[in-house]
Order: sequence, then C-alpha cells, then structure tokens
Amino acid sequence: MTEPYQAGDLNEPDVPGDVAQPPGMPQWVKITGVVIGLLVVILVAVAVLGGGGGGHGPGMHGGLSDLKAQSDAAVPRALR
Amino acid sequence: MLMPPGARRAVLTAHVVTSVGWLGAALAFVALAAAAVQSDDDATVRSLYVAMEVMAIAVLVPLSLASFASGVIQALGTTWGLFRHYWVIAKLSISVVATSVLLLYLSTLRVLADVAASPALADDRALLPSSSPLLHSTAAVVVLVVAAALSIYKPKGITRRGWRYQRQRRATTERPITRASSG
Repeated sequence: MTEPYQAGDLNEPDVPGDVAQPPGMPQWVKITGVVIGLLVVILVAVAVLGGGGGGHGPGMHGGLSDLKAQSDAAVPRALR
Repeated sequence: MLMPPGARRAVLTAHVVTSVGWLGAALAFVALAAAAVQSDDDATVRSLYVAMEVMAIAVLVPLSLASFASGVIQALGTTWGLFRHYWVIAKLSISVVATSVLLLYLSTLRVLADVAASPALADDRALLPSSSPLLHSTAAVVVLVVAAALSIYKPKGITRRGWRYQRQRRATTERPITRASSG
C-alpha cells in the first residue's frame, strides 16, 4: 500500500488520484470564456459603430477626443 | 526549478503585499476620480487630475509590475506552474490585461493632467471633469478583486500540461515509498 501524497505546507496543489485520461476543461472556465467572448464582441461592435479606433488612448472614453491637441498647445507643466 | 521553502515564503510575501497594495491603490484612485467628477470647485478638480497622474506613475505602475513579476516567479518556482492550473492562467491573464491597460492609459492621464494644470486652458471648464478615470479605475478594482478571489478559492481544473506534470510527479514521489512499504 502506497502512502498518499501529502501537499506541502506552502500552499501547494493537491495531487488527485492517477487518472488515465487528461481532464476536460472545467465548467467555470467555459462559462468565463463565453462571457469574456461576448464582452469582447460587444466592445468591438461599440468601437466600430461608434466610429472609435486608434487603440486604447485619449478619446476612447469620456469624450476626450480634443484633449490631446489642446494639451499639446498648452503651457508646459511645472510638475513635469 | 522549484524554489526552497524560504525563498518560496519570501516571494509569496512579496506577491501578496504587492497585489493587495495594488488593489488598495486602485481603490484610492477610485476615490480621487469620484471626487473629481462630483466636485464643483475648479481648483479641486484640477488638483485631483494632477494627483491621479502622479499616483498612477509612482504607485500603481510599480505595484502592478511587482505583482506581475512576483506572481510569475511564484508560479515558476513552485509546483503550481504557470500553465498547469486554469485558475493560475486566469489570474495571469487578469494581471497582464490590467497592467497593459494601465500602461496604455498613462497617456490619457497625462493629457488630463496637462489640461488640468495648464493656465492656458483655465477657462475651458467643459474638458474637466472626465469620467474616464473613474470608469477605468472601477473596472480595475473589479478585476483585481476577482484575481484575489481566484487566489483564495483556487477553483479546480488542471490543463493537459498540468495533468502530465502531476502524473510524472506522482511516479517519482511514489516509487521510493512503494519499495519501502513492500520490502
């Protein structure tokens, strides 16, 4: 009789019994994947329909489209 | 290569401290962003956007990078691995996405801080406040809480790579015990 594997004292993973077949993807991973996929589709749709684009930067949210040009023309900041 | 117990504890401590610090800093950022949106005082609003940029550069970015680095070292130096458990992959993804968005968002924060600090734009009250920092920091808090929950609950599920590693590990750890008990 073999001794059962003991997980270490440092938050180590438990080793389950020897399974011949590799385990499938768990339910929580599938559900999370579907939710994230839907969110990405929605975000892409909003970006395309809203005329956005140009990456994640000024103007993407909160009506900041004109901020960059105005900021560049502004007096240099003392804090920089 | 597995780290010795002392090194594992040190890296784990660093990872917990930087990750919790990142979450706390994100919450503090939410408070600044919310105050900026709600305040009617022009000087207060402008000073808050300048403070947000300083906070992002001096606190959020270092903590996010340190949390990411210590997490990767912790995973690679223990039997958890980086791609053996789904929850570790999920947490790694959150860390990569959150850090990337933060780094990309620095340009927006710089623009807002420039506008807020510039006397040339002192009368252009329509530009500020912006709800964008509040939106981003709130989203950051949500995903960081999810990452913290993943660390605590550690939902089950191993990948093929993890399954192969565990079979290999079982074989190497059980062999001497089997011989001893049968002999």
